Amino acid sequence: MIALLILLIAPADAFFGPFVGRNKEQQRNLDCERMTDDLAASRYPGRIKMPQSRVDDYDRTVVVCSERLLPKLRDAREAAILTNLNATITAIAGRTSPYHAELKGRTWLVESHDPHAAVGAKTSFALKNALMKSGLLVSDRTPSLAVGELGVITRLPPFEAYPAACYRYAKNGSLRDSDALVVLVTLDPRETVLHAGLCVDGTWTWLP
Amino acid sequence: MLAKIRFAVCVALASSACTYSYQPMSGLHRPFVVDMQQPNLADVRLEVVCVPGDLLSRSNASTLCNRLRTLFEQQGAIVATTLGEPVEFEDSLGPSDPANPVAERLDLRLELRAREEHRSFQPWSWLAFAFTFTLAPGTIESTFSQDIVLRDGTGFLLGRERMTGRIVEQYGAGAWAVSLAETRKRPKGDRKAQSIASQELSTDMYRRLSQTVFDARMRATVLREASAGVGR
Repeated sequence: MIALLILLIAPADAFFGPFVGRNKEQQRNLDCERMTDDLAASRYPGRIKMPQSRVDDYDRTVVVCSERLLPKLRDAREAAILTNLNATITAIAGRTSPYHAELKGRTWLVESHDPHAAVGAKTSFALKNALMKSGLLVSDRTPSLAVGELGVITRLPPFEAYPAACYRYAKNGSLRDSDALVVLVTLDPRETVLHAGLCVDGTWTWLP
Repeated sequence: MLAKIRFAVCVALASSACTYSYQPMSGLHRPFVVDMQQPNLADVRLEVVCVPGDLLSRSNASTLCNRLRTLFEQQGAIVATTLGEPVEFEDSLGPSDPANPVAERLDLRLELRAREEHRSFQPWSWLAFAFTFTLAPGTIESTFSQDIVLRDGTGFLLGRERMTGRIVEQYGAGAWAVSLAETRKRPKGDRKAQSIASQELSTDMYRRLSQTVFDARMRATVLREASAGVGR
C-alpha cells in the first residue's frame, strides 16, 4: 500500500530520470554542464534559485542544459563552427590585440573566405562586433581584386594566395594606407576551426 | 515459509536488473567532419600520452592508448604511445630512440586524462526502491570528464578540450520493465544496455578525438607558416 502511494505521488522524473519518453536523438540535442549551485545561481539569476536553508552539509550541483538550434538544418561543419562561434571569434579578436597600438587610428576591415556564404557572413559580422568592442574603428567596406587578378590568385595554394591578394589590395588602392584588413580563412573543408591573417600596407601576417 | 523465500528471491533478482544510460553532455557530441577511414593525418608523427589517474587505471590507459594508436594509424599517422605523465619537451628532443618512431621529429602530442567529476547514489531513490520492492528504481549517477591537451613538436599549446558525459544506472524491476516497454518501440541502437552505451561512448570519443587532432594539425601548419614567413 505504501509502495503504491509513493508511486502515485512522486513525479516520474524523480524515479525514472530524464530519459523516459526522450529518445537518444533528443538527448544528443542538448549541451549540458554540471556546476555548483552558487555558480549556477550567479550565471542564471532568477532562473536557478539557491535553496533557502544553508545549514545542511550537502554539496549541491546543478546540471544546466541548453538545446541546440536548428539541429537538422545545418551541415556538420557549419554546426561545429557556429555552435562555438563566440569562443572562436573572441580568440581571433584577441590575436589582433598585439597590433592595436601599432595600428592605432586605422580603419579595420573584415573579410571571410568560407565555402558556405552564410557561415562567412556570420563569422565576419561576429568579428566586426568583437573588434568594435575592443574600441577599434570598423568598416563594412571590403577590398576587391580585378577579374584578372582573381583568376590568378584563386589558382595559387592558400599560403601563397593570401599574401599575393594582400599585396594586390594595396597596389590597386582598394586597401588604403589607413586600413587594416583581417581575413578569416578556411584551409581545408575537413577542419572545424577558423584561421586568421592580417593584411597591412600590402604585407600579410598569419595570426596563429 | 516457501512463499516468503520465493518472494525474497524474486526481489533479489529484480534488484539486480539494471538499465544503463549514457548521455553526452558537452564536447563528446559536437559535430564532426573528418571521415575516420580516410588518411586525414598522412605522415603526421603523433605521440599519444594516456595518463592513468582518477578514472583511468593503468591497464585501462594502456588499452585506450592501443586503441587510439590503431585509430590514428588508420588515418595515416605514425604513432607512438606513452603511458604516464608526458616527458618534458627538452628531454624528448634528445638522442633518438630506435624503438620510438616519432623520436626524431614529433609533429603533435596528444595528452589524455580522465576523471570523475560527480557521483551520486540518489538516497531517496534507494529508499523508494526498498519501500516499493524494487518497483521504483534505485539510481546511481556519475559524471565523467576527459581532458585533452594538444601540443606541437616544440611544446606549443595548440588546443585544449574537455569532453563530459553522464552515466545513469538504474536498478530494479520497475526500471527494467519501463526499459523493456520502451525497447519495443525503439530501434536496437536506442536501447539502454551497457554494451550499447559503451559502444556509443567509444564512438563519440574516437570521432571527437579524430576531429580535434585534425584541427590541431591545421593550426600547427599555420603556426609553421607564420614562423617561416613573417611579414611577407
